[in-house]
Order: sequence, then structure tokens, then C-alpha cells
Amino acid sequence: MIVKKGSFVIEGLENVQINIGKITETGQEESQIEGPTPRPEIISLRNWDYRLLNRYNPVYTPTSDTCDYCTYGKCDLTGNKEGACGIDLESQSAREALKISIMGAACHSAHGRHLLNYLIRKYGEDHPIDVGPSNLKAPLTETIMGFQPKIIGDFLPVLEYVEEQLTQLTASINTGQEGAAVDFESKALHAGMLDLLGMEVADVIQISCLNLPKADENTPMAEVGMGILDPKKPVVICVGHNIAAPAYILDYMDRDGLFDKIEIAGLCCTAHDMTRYNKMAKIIGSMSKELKYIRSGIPDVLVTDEQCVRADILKEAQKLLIPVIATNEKITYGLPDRSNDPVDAIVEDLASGKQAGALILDLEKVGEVIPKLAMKVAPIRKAKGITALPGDEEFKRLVSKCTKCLQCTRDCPQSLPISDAMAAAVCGDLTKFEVLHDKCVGCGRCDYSCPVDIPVLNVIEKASQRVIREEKGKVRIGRGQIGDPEIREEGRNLVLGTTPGVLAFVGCGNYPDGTKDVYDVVEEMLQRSYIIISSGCSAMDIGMYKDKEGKTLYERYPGRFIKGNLLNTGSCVSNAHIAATTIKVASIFAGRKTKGNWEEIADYVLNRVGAVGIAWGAYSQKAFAIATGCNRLGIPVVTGPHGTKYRRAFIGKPYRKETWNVLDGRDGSVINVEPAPEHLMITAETKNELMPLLAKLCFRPSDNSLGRAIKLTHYIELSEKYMKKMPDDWHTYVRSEADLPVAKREQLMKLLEEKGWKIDWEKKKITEGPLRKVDVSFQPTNVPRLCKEAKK
Amino acid sequence: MNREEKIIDTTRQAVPFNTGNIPGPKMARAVMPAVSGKMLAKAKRPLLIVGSEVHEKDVLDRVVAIGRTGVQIAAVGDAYISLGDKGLDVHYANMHALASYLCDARWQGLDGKGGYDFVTFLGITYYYASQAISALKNFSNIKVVSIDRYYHPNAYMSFGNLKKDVFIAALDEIIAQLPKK
Repeated sequence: MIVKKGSFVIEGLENVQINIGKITETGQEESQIEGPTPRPEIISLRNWDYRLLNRYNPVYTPTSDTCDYCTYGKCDLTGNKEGACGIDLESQSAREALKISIMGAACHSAHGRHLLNYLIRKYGEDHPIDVGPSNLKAPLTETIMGFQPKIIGDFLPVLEYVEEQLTQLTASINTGQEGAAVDFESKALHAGMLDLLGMEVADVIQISCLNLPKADENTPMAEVGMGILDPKKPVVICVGHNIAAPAYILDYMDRDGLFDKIEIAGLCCTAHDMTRYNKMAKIIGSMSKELKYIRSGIPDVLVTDEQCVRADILKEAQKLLIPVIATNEKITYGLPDRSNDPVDAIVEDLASGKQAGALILDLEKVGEVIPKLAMKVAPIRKAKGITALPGDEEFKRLVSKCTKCLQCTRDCPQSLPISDAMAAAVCGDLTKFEVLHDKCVGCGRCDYSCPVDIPVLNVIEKASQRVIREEKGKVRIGRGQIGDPEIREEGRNLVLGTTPGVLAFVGCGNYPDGTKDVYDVVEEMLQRSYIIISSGCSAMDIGMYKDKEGKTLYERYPGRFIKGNLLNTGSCVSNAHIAATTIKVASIFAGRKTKGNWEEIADYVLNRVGAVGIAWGAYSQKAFAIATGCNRLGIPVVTGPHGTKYRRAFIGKPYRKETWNVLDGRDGSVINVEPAPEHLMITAETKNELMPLLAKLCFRPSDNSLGRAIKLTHYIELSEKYMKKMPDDWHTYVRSEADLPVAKREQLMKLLEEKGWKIDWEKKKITEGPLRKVDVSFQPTNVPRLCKEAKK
Repeated sequence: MNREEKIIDTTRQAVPFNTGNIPGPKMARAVMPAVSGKMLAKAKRPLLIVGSEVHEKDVLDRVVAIGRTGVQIAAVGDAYISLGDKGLDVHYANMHALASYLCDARWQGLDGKGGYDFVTFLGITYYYASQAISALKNFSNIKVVSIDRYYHPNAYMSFGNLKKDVFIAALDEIIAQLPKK
């Protein structure tokens, strides 16, 4: 008898049913495991975390000096005092870091869980995983869980593991549990790693089942911007991150040929996945556009799923008679559950305004309701010309009411000079408002702060109609993973440093000085041949600007994983592929074993792969969790200045030489190396400061001389260009004259001589000064067991 | 009344500039410029941290004037662009990293000559400065006195929220307290 999965009734035992779930051949799972930590528990990787934390010390910048978690409190912890339970501010801050990481990880993993349950129901557990030309189909799963998933059902134990671990971690936050900052941080790193895993599950299964692009470097372009839709047509806007419901809407529209009749677009990461699913979909932009676009009155129907959905979306929509359809259990807004009601009845109740919205968890029904509702509601709304934006006369009246009290500026996350723009508008000059429109993150806090009740956000948007109409960009549709062949082609350049680095622009739109900064930085780094990988809202914002010929960066730079290319992996959960790319480099290029082997892989990435994450506008707990997960994988992350509000960074101290010792894997000897990478998580204040910092964080101890010279060139040039100075520490990264950029070699050697280094000018060689010599065979590692001597 | 005779009151509006920025029970005492100027003058090893909002001429001129009295300057963000060519004892630093180093008693300063006993700052993106100095407030023994235009609750002492002309006049008063070189 061949045993298969399913239910069986044995003849003669009619009342007995045997259910067979997963079949595992003897020794099958065990034989796949290649490293010591498959399914790591919350302290399994503690030693690795300690190695990181010993070098990259947590730096705490509390937003609150108190703790109010339990009824002993509120406790004043100012000056690192202990509270009633014995916790001090340092540990409390670390506890906050853990809590934030857990929230982010739970969000992505629950997203994955929702998708997995749904896709298994629709396609079955046996649906094969297909992510494109990859042997490493799910690198994070392999590295963490110790096995390679082949069918989507293989992800069931993965999410069970994540969920169990997150419960353990959450328990450790309770008063009377963990008390040491260092162990809160180790646990936060664990949560970050789980976050990466949860994201990978979500994206791999949706790529496999929904036929999203599979490691495709030539995906088509999608339109992006607030000016791309035809407001005369019925407009459906999907908000959030989860493709499940929008996919049904797109299918229905496709089937009924409605793309000419209805405009459909997304806000935040749902938009990315909609375009990956059906290229007819469009992208409005990041969460920063959410309130602005709703207030424009253009949407006729709003569909929410999960994550990055404003808490006031129903209230805002209600004012403008826009029905809201919630499609996910996590966001229900007190709406009536209409999942089991007939489509026509739902449409009638919403179109007539009898109900402001509905919760519909039957996604097939969502697919039918939304287009029908849009067709019915749109003529009514458009006939009334409903918008929150003031008319011309009302606008003049509102701006003249401003008393310049600056309360809006004090409540604005970016402290924008709103009253200056009001004053200019009184004189008919709208340009200051147009500048504010880009810098404004659309939170609407200014509305609440105005003592004379000016609806400030509406005024900004009204004044910016000219630039909004022109807001039409292009984004290369999310490609998913980086395929193995691309890694084979580029891995060597990355590890040796001849490609100066991989810069991953990820995360949200809470930029300190507008979206244009991201475009500017990406353009500069592309011109310098860095590989730029983007995802999420950053990927959208990169595509918002054009050069003099009217081309966006996606149109100017191809999307292959090679130097000087610009890739978009996709939505927030596609961030997993960016982190996973470093695992692929370790596996494909260097032959490192992956399965259950996190520490060795992370050690490889930390010492050899010049990859840096940039979350310039990070706002959410998810972004922090992603960053923390990347940190545990050895990838440094830089955020904008708002990142200090996460309350914790991991900052290296170059002056503490003993923290920069690494082992030579060949013989276990201790080598004191340059601070590379210098930090694991840090902020920068401006884009000028950011650019040389990125170049610096791409240095790795394994760089060969050619690679080091290339990286040093960019570090020096970017510092000179944007900071008007030679970097103070450039010489730290010089190991021999061969590390110096050829064009400036003599000039730099003179500078080194001034610093006291000895130069043999006849041979043009450095004879004394560097911290260490270049050794092409050097095998840097921070893990003693990986040294050959230890292995004997 | 000329500027020298005008009384500058920097203690008004001593509430966090970002309305929600209430850290806890210990918040900065509002200070007059003469007091902060004297504290700066008496400090054995002071450090002035200046951020990316220093580029405007009127503020920049005052920073340069303070620097010329021998106070070492940490130019954070991109402040170095405007300060690097002024012949001052000025060093680029990342604000976040600097906060970390200042909390480390082993750190020997930007010039390797020892740690600092007094830190003052201005012209840094408001919330960024506020967060960074919360590290110093809670995890170091360094006195941090804000001479920024806005009230910083995490400092030991701070001006209130000032109008630009009052701010400039306050900086002049600080400069007047410093020894001439």
C-alpha cells in the first residue's frame, strides 16, 4: 500500500478514520541539517548576539524616562534609576526594543499566516514552491529552520515555529521576567530574525501561488503618483499590504473587461503586490499619501486589508461618502460583518449610504462587490463633486486666518514652516506650499493643533494641485527574489569589493526632508556603480522623479543584480529577499552550508558582504524589526534622524581597538582589523551626511586591494562632495599602497606621511603605519569554532 | 536702548517645542544666556555640538565667534560644510555615535585629549537633538546645557522657545561671557 496524505477508512473498521498529515521518511529531515542551530530557540544564538553586542554596543535614547507597564508604577527611571520591579532605564529601553521587534515580527508573520491559510485552502498544501531560477528557494527558511521547503504546506511548521517563538519572547517582557539589557537585546535580535522568516513565507507563497514575477529582472513598469488616475472614472483604492482581497477584485475586473471603465490603484505595499499580480493596477504612493488622497475625494471606494492603514480611515472616508470595505480580521473598524450577505444587498446598502462600510471576509465576494459598488457610487459622488479640499475663495479665507502661532509647526513631525507658506499664499504665492507638499508626511496632526480651526492639510493639498497633477512616475514592478544565476555572476565582485556595495533602500515615507532626498541619494550611488535594491514605499518614492529627459531612475537603470543597476523586489514582505540575497552569496559564491547554520552565514555576511540597508523614512515597528533582523544577519542599517525615536541603535566604537579583533579562519590567530563595518544600526541627520556614511559602511575586512581602493575612492569622494572634507578616518582603511585609489595614490601617500606613516618613495610603498597588511587569503571570522584549528 | 542694554529673557516659553516631547519628571531648567555663558566659560573641557541648521549666516557667525574663544566644536550632520574652513577646532561627528561615545567614560574625546565635562549644543534637527541628548541625560554624568533656539526637556538647562531675534541676542550674550582670545 502506498501511504499518501489524507483521510482513510479501513475496511471492516468503518467507524475508524485515520488522518495522515505530513509524511517524513526516516532520517529525511535530520539529513538535511547542515549547521548546529536548526529551529533556534530564544537563546540558541545568544553567543552570536553577544559577539555582535560586544562590538556594536546598544545606545539608548529613551523617549520616556518612566515605566508604566505594571501597577507598581509609574516608575521614574531617570538617570538609569531602578523602578519598583528592579528594572533600570537601560534594561527598560532594551525591553522596549524587544517589544517593538516583536510587534513588527508578529505583523509580518501574521500576514504570512493569513496568506498561507488562504492559499492552502485555494491551491492545496501540495502546491509547489516556484520562485524562479533558484536552488535556494527560501534561503532564510533553510538557514533558520534547517530544511528546504518544496511545497507551500512545508511552511506550516515554519509559521508554527515563528508563532511559538514570538510567544516565548513576548512572555519575557512581562514584569518579573527578563531583567538584563543584553539579553533583551539578544531576544530582540531573535525577534528580528523571526520577522525576516515570516516575511519570506509570505512572499514566497504568494509568488508561487499567484504567479507574481519570479526573479524577473525585466518586469514592466507601473505608474506611480497622485496624478496618475483619471478622476472622472470610478476609482477603487486598496490600502494596506495583503494582496489576497485585491487579487479577487483584479480578477473580476479582468474577467469582465473593466480596466477601461474603472481605475484601480493601491496605497502602500498592497499597491506593489497588485502590480505584481496584474500590471493594469497602479500605485498612488506610500502611507504618506493616504490621508492626502482620501481628502482629495478622488477615491469612490476604499478597500482595506492590513498594516499601514490609518486608524481614522473610516472616519475620514465617511465625511466624503466613500464606502470602506474591510477585508481582513485584523482591521475591522466596528463595521458590520456582511460576509454572508448577498452581493447586491451589500452594494445597495453601501451605495445608498445606509452603511458607511462593511467587513467582508469572503474574498470572492469582495471581488464582485467592489467593482459593482464603484460603478454605482461613483456617479453619485462625482455629481456632487465631493472633496475635502477647499474652493478658491474658501482657500483665501482660510490662509488669511493664520495667526502665525506656530502650533502646527510644533505638532508637525517634520516641524514644517507652515505659517510662512500661509503668509506667502495670502500674497498669492503658492510655491512654499508646493514645497511643503513633498516634505509633508500627511499625518494631519496640524489639523488638530490649529487654534483657529484651519484644516491645514487640506490647505496644503489645495495649494499644491498643480504639482499633484504632475505627480506621475514609473516603478519597475517588484521582481521577487534575486535568482541564483545573478548571484553567481556578481557574488565574487561583492565579496572582493570590486562592486562597491549593495545598498537596500527600504521602508516607509517618514523622511526628514521630503521624498526627493531618496531619489537624490539613489541617483548618486547608481552613478557610482553601487547595486541599489529597493522595496516598499522607498521603491515607490525612488520612481517619483524624472531627469531632464523625463525619465525616472527605473527607466534609466536596468534591473539586474549587477553593479549600477536598480532593482525593486516588491512589497514590504519582499524585504526578505534582500536579506536572503546575502545568504545566497554565502551559499552560492562561497559554498557555505545554509541549513540550520545561521551563525556561520551571518558571520560570513558581516565580514565579507558589503551590504547596507537604508530605511531613511522608517516609521513603523515593522521597519525596526526588519532592521534588527538584518543586524543579526550581519547587515548594517542606517535610518533617518527619526530613527532615534526607536530608542535603540547598535553603534561601534572605533577607539576601542579590542572590539575589532577577528580570527583568521586558517589558524585561529587574532587579527586586529579596521572598524568594518563600523556600525550595525545608526542614524544620519541629512542626506549629505548619509552618503559618505553609506560608502564607509560598505567596507569589509575581506575586501581585496582593488575592492578596497574602489570603496575608498567613493568614501573620500562622497565626503569631499557632500561634507567638504576628507574623512578623518580614511587612513584607517588603508592596509597597503595598493588599497589607495590609483588616480590619487601619490597625493594620499603624502597625506599618510604627514600622519606619521613611513613611505619608501623610491619604491612607492608604505613601509610603516597600517593597522594590518593585506592578505588575500585572510579568512575573517568572529566565531572560534569556524577556525580550522578548532575544527580538528 | 541698544542691544547690549536690552534684557533678553530666554526663560519664557519653556515647554517642549514638539508638543508631545514630554520625557518624564525631570525636565530642563530654563536658563538665562548669561548663566549658560558663564557655565561654558568655567568648564574645564567643554564641547559645543552644532548641527545641520547652522548654515544661516547670523547663527553661523555666532558659532564661529564661540569657536574662536577656543571652545572645541563637534560638527554633526552636515554642519562641517559651513564650519570647516573657519580655522576653528572643529571635528565632524555623527550625532548618534557622539552621544554613544560621550556616555563612555573611556572615550578620550574628538582630539584624543580626554573626555568632556560640559556639553552645549544648538542648530541640530530638534527631535534628533532631543533624542540624542536623552542618552546623555540618563546614561552619563555630563552636564548638557542647550543654547538652541528651542526648549529641550532632556537637557540639564535650556532656553525656552525663542523668536529668532531673541535667540541671536542670547547667543551674543553668551559670547560676551567667554574669554577673548
